Amino acid sequence: MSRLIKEYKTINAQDDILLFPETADNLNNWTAMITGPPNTPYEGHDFKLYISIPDAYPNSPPMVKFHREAMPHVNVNYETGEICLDILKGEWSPVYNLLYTVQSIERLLSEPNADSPLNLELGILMREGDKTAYDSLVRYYLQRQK
Amino acid sequence: MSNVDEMEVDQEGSVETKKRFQIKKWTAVAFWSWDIAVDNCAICRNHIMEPCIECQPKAMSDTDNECVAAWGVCNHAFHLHCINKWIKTRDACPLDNQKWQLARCGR
Repeated sequence: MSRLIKEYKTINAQDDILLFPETADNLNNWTAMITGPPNTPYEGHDFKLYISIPDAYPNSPPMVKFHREAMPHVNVNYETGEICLDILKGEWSPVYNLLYTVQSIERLLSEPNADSPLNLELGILMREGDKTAYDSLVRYYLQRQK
Repeated sequence: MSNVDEMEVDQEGSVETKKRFQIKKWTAVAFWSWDIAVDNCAICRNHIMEPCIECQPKAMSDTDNECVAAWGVCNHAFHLHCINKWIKTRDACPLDNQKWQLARCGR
């Protein structure tokens, strides 16, 4: 548990990523803001991540979710915001930390993975290889939220 | 070298060899570091030769605590306490993902 205090101190020293505990005296719940990567339909949008730390951390991965109905992505359940990413499940290693986890999710926005769809609608378009339709549908979802 | 020769020539002339300088005091400074590849335990991020993050608070009172380092056959090192907790989740080295096999532990 106290490893989180170490992480908190190192994250504080960095300015380029927004990752902070919801309150300074409780490190069990964190929030992160990620920026839509350039040359993706997410460009120009910011996304909030909700992170909750299990008691067994770092032997268990942090639980990370997008805001519900905010992230149209093949590996994200649109209704719940649940994320399908290997390191959040079986491929987790205690060597990873919160910053690395958030960076991996940011990378997932540029590299959607057709093999583990949580958004079936987008999954079908991706499996058909229709990148244009996929990106358009993502943009449509994002615009609708505004 | 030529300076030394000159010095000797000078000294030959005088009856009493006069010391040009004398060391009155010197302070030696030595640096050291652990001779291992991994400095920090990748699980708890404490130094491998110091107690793990769980034992750290009580380490001040216990003179001989048994919080030791553990090496796998892959030559990655963690605290024995840390790696034992992790392999209950998954029996793999956290750094290279190969099956964890303890090679030795101690300090």
